[in-house]
Amino acid sequence: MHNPVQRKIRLGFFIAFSVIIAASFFSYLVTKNLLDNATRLNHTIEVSKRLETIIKQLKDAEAAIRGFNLTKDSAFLHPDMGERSNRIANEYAALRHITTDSQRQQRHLDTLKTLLDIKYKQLKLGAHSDTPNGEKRSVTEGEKVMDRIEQKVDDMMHIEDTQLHEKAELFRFFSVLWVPVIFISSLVAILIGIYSYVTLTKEFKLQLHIESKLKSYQRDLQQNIMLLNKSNQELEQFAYVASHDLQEPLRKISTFSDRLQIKYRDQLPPDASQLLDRMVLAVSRMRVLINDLLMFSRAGRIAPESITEVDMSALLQNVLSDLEVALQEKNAVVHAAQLPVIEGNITNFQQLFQNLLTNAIKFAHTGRQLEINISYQILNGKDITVVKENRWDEQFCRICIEDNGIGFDQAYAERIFLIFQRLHGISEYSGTGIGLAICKKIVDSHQGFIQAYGYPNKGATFVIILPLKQKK
Amino acid sequence: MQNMPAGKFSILIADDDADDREMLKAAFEESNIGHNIKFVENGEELLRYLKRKGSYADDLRHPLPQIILLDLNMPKKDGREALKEIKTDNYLKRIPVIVLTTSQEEKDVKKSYELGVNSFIIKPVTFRKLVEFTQTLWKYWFEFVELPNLHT
Repeated sequence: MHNPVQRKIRLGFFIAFSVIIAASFFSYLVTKNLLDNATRLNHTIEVSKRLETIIKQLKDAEAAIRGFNLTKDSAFLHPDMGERSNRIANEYAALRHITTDSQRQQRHLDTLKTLLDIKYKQLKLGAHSDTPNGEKRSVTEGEKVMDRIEQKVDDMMHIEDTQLHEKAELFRFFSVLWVPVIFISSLVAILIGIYSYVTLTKEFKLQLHIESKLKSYQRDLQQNIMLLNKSNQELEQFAYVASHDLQEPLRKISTFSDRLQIKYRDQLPPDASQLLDRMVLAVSRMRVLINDLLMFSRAGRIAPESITEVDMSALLQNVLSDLEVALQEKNAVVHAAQLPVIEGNITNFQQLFQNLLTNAIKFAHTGRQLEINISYQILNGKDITVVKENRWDEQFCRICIEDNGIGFDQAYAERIFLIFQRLHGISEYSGTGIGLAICKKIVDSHQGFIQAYGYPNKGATFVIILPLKQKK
Repeated sequence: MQNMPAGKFSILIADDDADDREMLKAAFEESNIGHNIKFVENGEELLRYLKRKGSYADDLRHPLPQIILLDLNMPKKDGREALKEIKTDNYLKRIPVIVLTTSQEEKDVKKSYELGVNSFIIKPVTFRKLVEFTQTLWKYWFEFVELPNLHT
């Protein structure tokens, strides 16, 4: 998945999540407020009902006393004042209980208690008094106390109303906000949902597209590899067949011309014999070329089981002793470092060194003693410019073979590795120009690199870069 | 020339190439042993000869050779198949077979020896060398080597 898209989706989900959390919290507040409000309403209703009951009981008691005083009918005193007082006291106790959370109400209730106590006494007296004088006084006093009680009850009702009103205000505030908040947050969540859906669908389609593209590339690649393998096989077959079938007529030309020279020795004029000799020479050169071509087509073909750990120092000593005669002829000095162990095909490595050293010997400068220096370095893939990034972790051995021979122009540094490419006339230096081409093929097949650096009339340096381990 | 008196047939050569046959004949003649050789043109004919089939049924006119020179690349039955057949035949396997071919391929050399060939020789590229080869061949196989009796 592309990083920006992933970041966008993550941000989108974070916003949606935050919005939903905020909306939930707000809804919780609204609901809690609503419930509080309902509780408060119930509370207010209960308080006012109980206060009203107290007032009603008091009025009923006073009315009963007045009735008794007028008619002297004791039925008015039933139930008696003590019982009525008890009932009022019960209501009062209930009130006290339900308003414990409000200090103001409790204070009002304290006052009310005092007033009620006075009222109880008045009621008790009222039920026993029989003097009109005292009656008149007691009625006035009763009215006075009653007024004060009613005043208190009104105060308490007022507090309840105010509290209810406050709660209702808060609720109104929340309910006004609630609808838009829920609406907006839902809208945001839906928009983010849609956006995410669209983006993910797009991304998914892109992924599908990339996958199918990848698959088709893979198919193409496999097909190409198959074709390449086939053409490689054909090429090998071609090289084999060509070198065999081309050898046949060559062999016949040289055999027949030889026979011609032997059989008609006496009859052939000398120049005809010379022409035949030149023909035979050309044929033998052709044979060398074909053999080289065959050798080139075989070089670097390494079977995985033929790869072993090769002690390059021992190998180099072998090659040097094979070339001993040639080296002595040129009076050459070889300075060779102790080389490391490298994985590869021993025959190939032998040929590689043989060809490079033969080259150095062949192109020695006639005016000075030939000196060959062989040194090496172990390097990480990362530190070699020609190594691609996917092989930066591998370790390589960089071997330099340096000579003080005739050298070459750096312009030809690439060309000298091509098959049958020569920088000198055949009369100056022998050979077909196959040696370095074979070197390149060997190094290539070991997943290595070969480079040439030429300094005209000063010398040449060949650099071989080989991985220490061959990939299986 | 102890084993075989000169003038009697002793080498059977299988080669499909008329030029090569002519050149070999000339080389053997040059070495004065031209009358000791016979030619067949492919592996199939070689086997017919050795097994006395068809026109080769006459024992006296077509006696078994003392040694066989065999080219590898031939039409019909090639040298490899013929070699395999000879070396798996209980009776014929006692006849020495010498491969004489242009092939320098390592696997041909290896395969031929695995099949039981007695020598593997790459065709000489000059007539002089060819004559030298016929002489050496004769000297080696008919003067130094003890060959098996084919009639017991």
